Amino acid sequence: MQSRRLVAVCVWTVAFLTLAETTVRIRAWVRRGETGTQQDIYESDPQLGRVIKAGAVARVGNARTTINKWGLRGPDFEIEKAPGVTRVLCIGASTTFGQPDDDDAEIWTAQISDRLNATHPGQRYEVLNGAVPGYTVTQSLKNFRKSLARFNPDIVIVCHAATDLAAHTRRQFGGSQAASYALPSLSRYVEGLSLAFELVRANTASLRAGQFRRNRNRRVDQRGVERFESALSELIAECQKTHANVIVCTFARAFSADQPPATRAKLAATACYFNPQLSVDGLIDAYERYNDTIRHVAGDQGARLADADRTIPKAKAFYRDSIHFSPLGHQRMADLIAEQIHALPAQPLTQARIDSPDAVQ
Amino acid sequence: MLFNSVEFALFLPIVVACAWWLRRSATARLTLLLAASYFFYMSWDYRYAALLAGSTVLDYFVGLALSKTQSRTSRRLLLTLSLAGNLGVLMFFKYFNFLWESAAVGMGAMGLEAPDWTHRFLLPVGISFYTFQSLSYTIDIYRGKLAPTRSLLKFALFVAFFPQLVAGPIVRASDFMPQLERQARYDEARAIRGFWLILIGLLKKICIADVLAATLLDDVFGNPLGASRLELLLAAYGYSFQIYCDFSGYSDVAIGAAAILGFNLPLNFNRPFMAVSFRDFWRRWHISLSTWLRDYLYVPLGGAKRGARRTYINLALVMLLGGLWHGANWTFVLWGALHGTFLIVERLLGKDCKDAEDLPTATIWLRRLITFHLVVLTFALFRCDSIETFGEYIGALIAPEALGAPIPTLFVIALLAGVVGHLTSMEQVGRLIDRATRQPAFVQAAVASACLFLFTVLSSADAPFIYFQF
Repeated sequence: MQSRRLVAVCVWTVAFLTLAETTVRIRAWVRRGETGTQQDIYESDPQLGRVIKAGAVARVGNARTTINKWGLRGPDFEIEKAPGVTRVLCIGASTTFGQPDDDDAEIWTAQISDRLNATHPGQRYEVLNGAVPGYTVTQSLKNFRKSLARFNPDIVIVCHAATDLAAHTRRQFGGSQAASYALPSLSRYVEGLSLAFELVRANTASLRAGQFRRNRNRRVDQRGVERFESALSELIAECQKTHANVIVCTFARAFSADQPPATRAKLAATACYFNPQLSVDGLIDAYERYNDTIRHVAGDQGARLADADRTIPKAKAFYRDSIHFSPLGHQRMADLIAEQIHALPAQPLTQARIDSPDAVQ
Repeated sequence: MLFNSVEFALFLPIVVACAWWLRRSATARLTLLLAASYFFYMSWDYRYAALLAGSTVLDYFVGLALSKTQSRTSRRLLLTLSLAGNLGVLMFFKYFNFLWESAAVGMGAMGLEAPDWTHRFLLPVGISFYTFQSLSYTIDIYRGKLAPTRSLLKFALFVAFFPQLVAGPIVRASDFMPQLERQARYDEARAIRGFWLILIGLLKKICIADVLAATLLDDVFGNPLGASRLELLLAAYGYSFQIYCDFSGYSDVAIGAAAILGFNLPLNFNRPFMAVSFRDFWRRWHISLSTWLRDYLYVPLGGAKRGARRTYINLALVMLLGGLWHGANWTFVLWGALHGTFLIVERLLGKDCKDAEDLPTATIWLRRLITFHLVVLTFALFRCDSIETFGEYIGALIAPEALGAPIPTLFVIALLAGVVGHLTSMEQVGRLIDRATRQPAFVQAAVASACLFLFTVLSSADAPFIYFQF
């Protein structure tokens, strides 16, 4: 009947879209044991946008994400350090927090304590994962001041760049945020709801990056890099104020200029998804400049450098996608950080603490 | 709220459903459409709704006053008030900075220093379109061709009707107002054709125009000196099809959305690159603007009835102003001047082709090729940011310095799709849509879903319609 045709077409279209969405969610459930729904481990925060919900637990297949009573990923601990404990705090975003597919024990932050405790009998290392996916350095600084400084860490590991770069490209070139956590527009809200949409966009990001030459000559501006430099310096200085030793990590990634273009584009797909305004070469240039900045800031601030960029091979085996570690990548990262902690002055007392009257007593 | 956004995909069905629900009360339905139109406009910048409302109120009362007085002086004064009010606002927002900066350059050349009086206001979206639309109302009443409406609601909706508010087609009151008087009748056949027209429009915009821009054009026109001759040539052809697909895609969505709501909007494009002359081109390209310029500028200036010389002056003036209508930039002025020149040369040579059908096929195609390539050249100028960039573009085209890079496959596909889309006549599109609407609902839905998939894959971040800036 003609009078109901348009409604029928619309209903069928919605039905097809629902079918596509259901199919990809069933696929996700079959492959990973979850339906792709955003695990409810976050809650909104007026200052930070979002924080991790204390006590939350999420599962993807056999991988478990456990949030302790302090809102950090990992087991519970007491705020007061036990005698002889060296407390290591890791700050960063999703590459430090881990992906939903990563089990708690697989994350490099969890593996550090195993390595350190095995190689330092009689001394106990307690590693706290203070990272929050999507945080920039500025958010981590606020979070450190607000929540993390109270844990009184002896060592702070800072691992930031990817989210800062994504924020930088959005600020410089405009455009929608590929994966937004503070969804200001309806489009982004709908994007966040649909796994099918996300899947299609993520899997075709490298196609766009390869074909869209609009981005070819784009380079991130120095102003944004300087903004990152300033925020990172401030974060390190803030951590050093608590007399902690700071180790700053350069940012590791799967893709590099040495790879054949097709391989490079494939490995850079996720990074392209988060930075749709840049070409793959533009991304490589940006990461290199960010990593140079990190090296430079570490030198200036007297922080130790863990050069993950130059240590972890740029190969598919070490990454789940363009930037997030695979189990092998987590192992390499844990090895690197453990080495850097070994190389620090004797723990748990830093020179500043030794100098303090309490330490002498 | 762009037509190619999720917001609009939700906004339109909600408005259609509410309008359907309120169909028995004309006032309620029109009020809803007016509210929806203002909501749509305010989604860009709520402050500029005041300008839209101001223009509406001014022309509504001028229209009423014109109908009440027979005094020639009073009528002229009223028309001047409407022209000054509307064009004054347009001049201030769109041209003041350009004129002042140009004047400052001129004064600087004479050794004088001009103060910085430029303003920082953004150009209100669609101001050129609704100003012309609203002006046509008062001019038609002044000419005695139209009776003013007593209903402010209907007039406000005529000015602000959201499908065509920000980028046309520019609608005449004589065409649109009678549609507001009619009893709302939901024509399902028209609505489903509208639905398909929206999909076709979005395909043109997202899958052709935006892809052409992202794959090659933005890159080449951003730095002509860094492109090879092949890239520069393809960029010129590509931009012609980009702007066609972008603007005609917008018009298709506008016409489709209006059709679903029960309104007819005029055709805005008719295979413009098939024109056999520039005169023919302007009968096929942005038809609602070219007919507006003809009826409200060219004819009042005397048209072609005051001798050859006056006709040439009129053509030049109309095309210059038509170019300037697109924006405050010397590239647009030069673009208009070139079109004016081509129109004059055609007239001088007697090749403006009133009766192209009588010409031999080979001649028709030769003229099409010549016209098309001249149009492409003028569009390359239209696309450049400045005259200097166009100079660089032409210089690089003659003597390229760069080796360029491989042409992206997606660009070639999009360009071919643009050519095929352009060659498809409105009758063929109509037949295609008729055939599509005869298919079972689930088949139509499957095609619509496939289109949505393509939009998802190919959509770029923030790709507004080109004509929004005008």
